[in-house]
Amino acid sequence: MNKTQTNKFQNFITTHSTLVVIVLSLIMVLINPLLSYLAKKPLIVSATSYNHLLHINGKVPMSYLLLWVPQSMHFIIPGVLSLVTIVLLITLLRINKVSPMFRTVFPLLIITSPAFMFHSNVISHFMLFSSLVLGATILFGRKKNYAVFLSLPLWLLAASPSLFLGIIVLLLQLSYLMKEKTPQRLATTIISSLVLTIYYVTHKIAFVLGPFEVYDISSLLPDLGGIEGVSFFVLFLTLVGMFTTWKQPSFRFAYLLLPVPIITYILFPQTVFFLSMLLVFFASVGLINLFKRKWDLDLLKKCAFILIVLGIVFTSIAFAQKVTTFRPTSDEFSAFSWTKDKIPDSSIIFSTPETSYFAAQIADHNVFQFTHQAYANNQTNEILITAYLKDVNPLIEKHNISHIMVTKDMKEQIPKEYGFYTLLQDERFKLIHSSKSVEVYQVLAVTDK
Amino acid sequence: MKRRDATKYMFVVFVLILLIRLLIAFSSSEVTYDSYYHLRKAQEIAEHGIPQWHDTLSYGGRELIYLPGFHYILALLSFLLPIQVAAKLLSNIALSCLVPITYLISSRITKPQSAFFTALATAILPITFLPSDISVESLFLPLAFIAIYAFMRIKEKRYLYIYLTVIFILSFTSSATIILIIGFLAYMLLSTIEGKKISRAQGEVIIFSLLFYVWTQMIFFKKLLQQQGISFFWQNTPPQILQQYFPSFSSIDLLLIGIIPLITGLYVVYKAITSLKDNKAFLIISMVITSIALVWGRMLSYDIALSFIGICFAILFALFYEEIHVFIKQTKVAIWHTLIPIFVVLVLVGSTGYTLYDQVQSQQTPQDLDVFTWLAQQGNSNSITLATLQEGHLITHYAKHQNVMDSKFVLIDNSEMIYKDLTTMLTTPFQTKAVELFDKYDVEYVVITSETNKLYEEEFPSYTRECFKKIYDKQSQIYQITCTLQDEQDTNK
Repeated sequence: MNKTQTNKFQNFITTHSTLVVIVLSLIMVLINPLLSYLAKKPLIVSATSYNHLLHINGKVPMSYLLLWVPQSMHFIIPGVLSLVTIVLLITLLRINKVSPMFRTVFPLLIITSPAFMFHSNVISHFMLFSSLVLGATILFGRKKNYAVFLSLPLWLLAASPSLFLGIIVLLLQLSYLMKEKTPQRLATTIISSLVLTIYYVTHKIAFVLGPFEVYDISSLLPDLGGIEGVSFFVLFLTLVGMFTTWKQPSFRFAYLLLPVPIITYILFPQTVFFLSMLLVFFASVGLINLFKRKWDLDLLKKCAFILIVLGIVFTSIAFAQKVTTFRPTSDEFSAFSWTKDKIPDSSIIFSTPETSYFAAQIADHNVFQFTHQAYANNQTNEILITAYLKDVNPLIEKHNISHIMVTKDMKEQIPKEYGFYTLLQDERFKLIHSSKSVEVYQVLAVTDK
Repeated sequence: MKRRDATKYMFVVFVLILLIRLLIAFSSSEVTYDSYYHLRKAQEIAEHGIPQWHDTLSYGGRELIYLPGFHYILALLSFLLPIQVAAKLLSNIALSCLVPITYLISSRITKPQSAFFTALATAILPITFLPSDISVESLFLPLAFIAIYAFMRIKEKRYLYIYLTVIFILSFTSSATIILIIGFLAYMLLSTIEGKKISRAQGEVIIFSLLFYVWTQMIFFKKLLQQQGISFFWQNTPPQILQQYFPSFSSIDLLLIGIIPLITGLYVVYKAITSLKDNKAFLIISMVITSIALVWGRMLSYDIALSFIGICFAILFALFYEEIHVFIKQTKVAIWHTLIPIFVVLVLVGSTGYTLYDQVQSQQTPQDLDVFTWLAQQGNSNSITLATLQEGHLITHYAKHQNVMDSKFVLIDNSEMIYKDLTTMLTTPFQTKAVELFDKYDVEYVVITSETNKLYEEEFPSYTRECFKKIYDKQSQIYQITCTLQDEQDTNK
């Protein structure tokens, strides 16, 4: 490609940025449901989604949305929310007269980030939060009084699920006030803070709520096995972005926001989404600054650009492949559905904490322990590491476990040659269902033997 | 000493050390244990044209991802020479080339006369003096220092192309290239802290190198990185032998750097850290700090780090020499300053001589290869043979049998348990336990060499029953397993 062609390409991308971004978002949003449909896999995936479906009567905005949308259409919620988020983001960038280059780069990096891809495929209140907050910010930034006050319910809805989201909302409002303070905005901030404080205290709202996958400190880097986060190349661009902007007053708001997601991520890695979005912001600035400056070695500039693009695409494709492996599998879905009809209603199913969300929702039975409960006290592990039947029996009796569901992830966690899995060969346990990846055992009462 | 003389002497040292290396290397037909792994990988590439990511013999069949740069070069050379000869030539010529390379680097920061001592110190550096060792490091080290030299002269177009070519090869040769990348970043950071502006071109090549390195590693080790995360750096080494692969610095090991370059190197680094401004050896010092930090964090193999630090110290030795030369010229013994070079040569050679001799002697090469070549006539490529961990590659290379375990632990589930079982199989006095484990791993043959007995400080248990049939009994022994645990109660295999 010669220089004129490159410029033409660049011009096309920047002038048609909205179209490019929306088309790419659509592709990203549709690809997984389409692949799942073709592979006859459930269209709703991940423990987080099933937790929301399980608590459809809850008092968080996502529950209201799930109740409002017909059950057969639940699978489109994550995709629609991510599209709304992107459209609102582009609108916000346009209203704030951000440079066309940033308007293109920032949404593109967001769409291709594993964090955004994850939440575009999962029913999670983080994507709903993003849409509400972006909508609120657009209204909050308007000059008209009614628009500013109209943002209030959106802020409140966005912040209602957890205290952490409330802090993010407050920080966003403060950073906007730092930029442009008006009495209306100040009043909205004060009212929302007061209402939220009362709400959190009276309703004993948790500091963090979900997602409900198994997160750890490596979650930020999917290249190192993390569950969402950003590509290594984005992290590199973030450092470039921070290095080039840390003295600029116009970026103070971003630095004001930074400590909270970092600290929360260290304490609660499941909040990695917010840190990722902030890192993507700096990365977009970094990418633009890196290639805007004059390079002595033009050849290296081109090569570095290609490597960054390839690196980001590489991570995105790898993550898209990973999304297609999200549970439940079609085999698990059939096994859970079988369990729904075949075991008594009073049964308590024991499985891994992550599987419990699927078991509880699809099989519609009580389960032993969920991931969010296991964070505090992992009783599941206590049972799984047991090597002797005499130790397992009291635990089973104590927790009234009536059925054990052995899935692929459980088999991977426990040794095949000894421990819990071998104990299941005892006559106390009866195999009542077996498929490719799931085995269901009934725990027989001592008198049944 | 004039530049021309210094270059001439350096060339003499280079030729001399190359000849000594080749003489020692070809005086024995064996190579070190791990070398057989590289020979087999190069052979596979020569036969198939591409690396075989599924190794059918190692661990009874496993996935093995590695950077194939070194093996490709070896495979190409194997079309001209027998592979073992080509490998010995490549390793020794490449490592000998460190002499002129470090001389050139040193010339950039000191006078040619001082640079000559860098060349000499590099030539007799004990840690790199393993003429019978065929390893990726033998290519990595010279290329890494070519990259450093080219980086110093990056503004010249010729050196830019040299640098890019070398970084390209390095990224496909060894993951240890991370020393260079982080070293360059440390150099950039130190320069920024000290207000010393690095050239724009240098900044640009650092960015490019980082991106290219990460990209190549992600291509090769994507699965590994996703599976093992940060513990990728420990290469899944069983905890029982982790200390062997990633030990802490010990005073005896440090002697492998050479006592004089070590002391003077530390002195130069200390002095540089306490007064960083206008230091000509900034880049080399950054490399030393990076290597120490990486090996301390167990993110880099000990041997590579020690070799890298040793060479850096050899370069820094030139600075020390220059300083001491100037100092002596100002003292009352100044009239003898012409004798200083001779004195330094004597001290350098004298202080390193014994360690060098000891290093050559301590090269671990197999004593009895006949047992493995004989084994090739028994069984087939599906037969599983047990030997010590380090002899694992000999089983796959010579006998073409599957081994139970070898030193490549990456992507192996339960490497800790396999190592424990391997030790038990070779030492347990209980026949039932041994047969149970032989059953578990489908072991058909057990090779007991003098190395096995030395390693476990005891004789292999002489089981008396018919389950262990001695089919080879010379310097080493081979046992054929004829029973299974069930067979003991019922029938023979």
